[in-house]
Amino acid sequence: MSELQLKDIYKKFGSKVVVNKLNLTVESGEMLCLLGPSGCGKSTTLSMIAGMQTPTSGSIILEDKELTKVAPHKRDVGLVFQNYALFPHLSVFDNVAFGLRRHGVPKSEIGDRVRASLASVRLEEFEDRFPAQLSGGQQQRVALARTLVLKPKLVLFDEPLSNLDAKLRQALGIEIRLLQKEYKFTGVFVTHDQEEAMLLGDRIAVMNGGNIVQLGTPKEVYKKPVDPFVANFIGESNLLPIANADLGTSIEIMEITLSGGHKIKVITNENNINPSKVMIRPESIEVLVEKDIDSEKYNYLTGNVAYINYTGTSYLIGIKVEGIEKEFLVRIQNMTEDLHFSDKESITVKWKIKDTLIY
Amino acid sequence: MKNFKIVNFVNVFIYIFILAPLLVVIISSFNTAEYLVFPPQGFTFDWYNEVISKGRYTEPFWNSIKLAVVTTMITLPVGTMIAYAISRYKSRFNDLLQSFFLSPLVIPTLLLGIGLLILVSNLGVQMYFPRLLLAHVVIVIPYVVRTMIAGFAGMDKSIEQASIILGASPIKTFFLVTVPLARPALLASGFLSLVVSFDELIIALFLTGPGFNTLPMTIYSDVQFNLSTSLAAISSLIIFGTVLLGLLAVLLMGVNKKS
Repeated sequence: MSELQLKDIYKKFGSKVVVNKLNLTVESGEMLCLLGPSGCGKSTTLSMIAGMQTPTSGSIILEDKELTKVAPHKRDVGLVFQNYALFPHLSVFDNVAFGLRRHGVPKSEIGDRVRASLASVRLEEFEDRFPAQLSGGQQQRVALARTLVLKPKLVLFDEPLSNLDAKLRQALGIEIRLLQKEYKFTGVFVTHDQEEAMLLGDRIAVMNGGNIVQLGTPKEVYKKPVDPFVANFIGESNLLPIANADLGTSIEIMEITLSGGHKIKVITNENNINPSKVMIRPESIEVLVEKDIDSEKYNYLTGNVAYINYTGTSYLIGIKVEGIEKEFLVRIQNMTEDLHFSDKESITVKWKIKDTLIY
Repeated sequence: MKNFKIVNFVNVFIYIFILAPLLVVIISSFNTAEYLVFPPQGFTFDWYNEVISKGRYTEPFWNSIKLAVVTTMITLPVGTMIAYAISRYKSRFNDLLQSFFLSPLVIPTLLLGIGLLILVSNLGVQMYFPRLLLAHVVIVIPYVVRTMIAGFAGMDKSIEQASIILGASPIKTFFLVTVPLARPALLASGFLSLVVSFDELIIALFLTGPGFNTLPMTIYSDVQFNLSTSLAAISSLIIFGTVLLGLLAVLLMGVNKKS
């Protein structure tokens, strides 16, 4: 059964369309990430689901019930904020108990439920503290406990990890996934960070300009981005303009000339016989070590090393290729031997023809 | 460094400018001379004794206190609601509303006094207390509205949203979350409201008549006709009272900060 449905959601602020006829179904127990740059409408979409804003038109349905006209305090939806939004005048215990009290849960039950909820975020010893006495990560865990103690069907996350530092972000992200298994809620997670979306989402909806441009599992979105925007937004990419595309000698393979006269091959896509761009992920590219040319399987490109960045786990090499404006990026996993390239040195790289995407 | 020194000098000058009159009054209040003179000629508590035991100021004092307290009981909730509406509900009339509620601050008190006199006469309000109460509410409201708007502006709206999402109705949210968070602003507003109303003289001169005096009115008439040292004593008592009230407000605000 589908849990949350957004039908033709449309939202205008004045004359500006922020969300444009958005349709989305979130399955029961799924974590769906809304990923996109700022201003793409993801936060507005979330706040419409929470009831903080009303769509100009369209409907929101939760478990076959129309939610659009329900007041936000009666929605049975949880919301975790970017800035935690804990009640600073209440203790951790009272913060978590707040929702239970509003829902008329009997006093005898409140203590146990609050403690169980705090235990699930490993903060049972902090119930007497005040929010200002906790670190950012602890505050967000209190916010999680405060939301989950009500056992909501749907939990919304509004960039909850953005205010935390990188290590904590990953740890808390994993914790949220584990909590989802424990509490079995359906989740909608808004973020502008693709790594977060990959880590947390069962599926990712990439948004741009008020609508979803691609919806799929993290793998699908990464491996087969539908357009250059998605390719660029998710992970690193080399996007090269095409000067001339030729159907060539075989039906399966198309011969393409890049600007600068470099010839490469791509697998023909019947739906796109006149592509304008090719995209290659930097990590699907290798440095050619020996002269073992296999032009049936690989594409080759030669240029000069512009820079090498060492990140510990990998090298990022920028290559200046004649006739191509942006540096061609190659990411190589860290090897036991060091890479020895000096600036301006000539380098040839190769990648599989099937790893070349066209747009 | 040179600028810094000039700024310091100016600061000290300003403090002297503000504090000197208060100090002069307080020092004079212990003077043995019968008339207000400075520097003092001896030391005595007699004038305080006279002020408190003789009762010339007792009734005006209680009038002013009653007026200030009832005024505050009205302006604090009303002003808070006005400020909340202006800061939370987006409307293109927001600026207009805000200017309207702040306007008594910029309208000359004389004009306000004449206008209010005509108004209360036409309304047939004969008793002096309700007349003054009405006027004081008008004068004090801007202070409360302005302070509360500043208080609400500095408040994180997502905390109120969190309360609503957790199942509290907007009204419950207001009392359970907004009011506690606005406590410093509420205390400041209450303090301002009490002090402004207690100190008010001009409107009181316009709107009241024989048989009803506020403390500032009595002091004013004594300055004109009876320049006794007991004036310095009652003035000093007002200063002490105001300072104590202010300290209390600051103390209560401080308790809110749990960090």
